[in-house]
Amino acid sequence: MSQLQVNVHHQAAAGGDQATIKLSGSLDSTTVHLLESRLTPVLASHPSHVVFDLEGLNLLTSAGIRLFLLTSKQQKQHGGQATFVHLQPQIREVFQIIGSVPGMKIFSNTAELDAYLIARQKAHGSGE
Amino acid sequence: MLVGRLSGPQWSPDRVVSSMSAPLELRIRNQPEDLSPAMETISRWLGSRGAFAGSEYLALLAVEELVTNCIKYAYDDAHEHWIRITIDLSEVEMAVTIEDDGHPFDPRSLPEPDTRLPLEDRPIGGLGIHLLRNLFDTLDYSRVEGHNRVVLRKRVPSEPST
Repeated sequence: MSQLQVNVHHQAAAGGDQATIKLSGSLDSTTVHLLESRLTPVLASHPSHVVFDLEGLNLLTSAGIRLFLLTSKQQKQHGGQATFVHLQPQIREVFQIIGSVPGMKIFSNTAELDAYLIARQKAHGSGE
Repeated sequence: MLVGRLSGPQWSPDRVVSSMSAPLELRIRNQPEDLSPAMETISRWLGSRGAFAGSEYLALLAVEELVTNCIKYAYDDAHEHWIRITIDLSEVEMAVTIEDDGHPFDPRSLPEPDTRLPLEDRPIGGLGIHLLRNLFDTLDYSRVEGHNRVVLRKRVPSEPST
């Protein structure tokens, strides 16, 4: 059976709160509803960052991509962002085919992501 | 091969070779719950064949996208239909074939989405087919005796992939 594990970790940070969503298994048409149901309350709280950690994800189909696109769009609408980290080579190829999307950012590792988040927080803090 | 020693009246080298390279054929109902077990079987089969790196991802993506499309859109009636999945692996390429008796549908007829457009302006459909056209080397379609047949082919990479 195709299975998906979803781990949500919500934390307050200096420049706004961050929700980290760790996915492992297969994000496809049969499992996408599980992520959707876990994501809805997270997005409703308008976090400044939603970080998808895809390290354990071994299959991503168009059903999952649609949800990622929708999430990025929703995040953009309230000035937030959706970021993606730890993409396996084939998942990365899928993202490349889709092309860049406003509100969506991709990082190869946590260090890169952290550096970006810190820079953004600083910019955020000094701007207000 | 050592099996040559087992040679007897029933045995021929050709038969052994052809059975070892026989494709995987699965028939599933047009029911979403039939999809996961099929994908599991495909994973195991490709794993046991030592298929090239990345082949499992491609095969699973192809089956998930095409069979899901078929279950959702190919039929108007409430009858049970059968969808046939064939995975053929040679030294040269992997071929994934999906056959169904639904409405004629040529996936090549879908326009390529313009990924430069802002997300809001992009049509939501056709994303799966777009992925498959980009990830596989060829996508062929034919309508044969009331059946749709889609064949996706991917050459075995010549460089060892990491």
